[in-house]
Amino acid sequence: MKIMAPSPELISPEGVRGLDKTPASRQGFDNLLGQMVDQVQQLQQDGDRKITGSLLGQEELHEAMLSLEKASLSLKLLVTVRNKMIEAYQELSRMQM
Amino acid sequence: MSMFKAMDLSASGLTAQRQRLDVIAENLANINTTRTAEGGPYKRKSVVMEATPAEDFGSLLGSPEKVEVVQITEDSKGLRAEHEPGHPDADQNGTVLYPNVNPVSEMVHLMLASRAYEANVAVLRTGKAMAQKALEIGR
Repeated sequence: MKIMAPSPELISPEGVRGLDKTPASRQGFDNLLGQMVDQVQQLQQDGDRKITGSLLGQEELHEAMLSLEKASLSLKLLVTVRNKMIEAYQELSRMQM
Repeated sequence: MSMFKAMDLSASGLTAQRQRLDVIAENLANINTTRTAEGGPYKRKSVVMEATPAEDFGSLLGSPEKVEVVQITEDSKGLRAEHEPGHPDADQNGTVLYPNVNPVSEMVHLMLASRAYEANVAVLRTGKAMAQKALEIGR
């Protein structure tokens, strides 16, 4: 799974301060999360296929176990990223204006 | 993900050791075989492993190399000749050729294959544990 560096607008102070620039930077993070979900989905489908294959005797047993491990780890990473995002959102929503 | 690269390399090791086990099983099963499709007794087989780049064009980029069984060779030296005139595969002198499989050396290869497999599993487990620890950083 490739994890892109956050786009420069996301890190630069202008990106955070300039509200008119938010659509572009928000789209960047949306894309990132969407890609992650797609890749996790793909890894899980791969795991399913390998398990079926190994039960039918066409695949190696360890390949099946490995693809399940990969799927599990990538899902854990995705959940961690999501939890962090929610945490950041709650932190912002508690902020006094 | 780069962590999965180590997993893929170890997986190639597991596959190679399992293929080695298949060949050892074949050798031990045919320890007394005097007839084969090519004629003559069974001949001991062994695997040849080769390091191949893990990715396409990987050799140009200096990427890590995984292992692959490229060839299964036959060794026709050291066939055991025994005097058994009543055997249907005996020649006119009453000599029967038996396979050159040595059970002791096959057992040693079996143990080596098993240990190598275990070592690759240990690498996999460590890789997984490291990734889980990395995810725990954020907690």
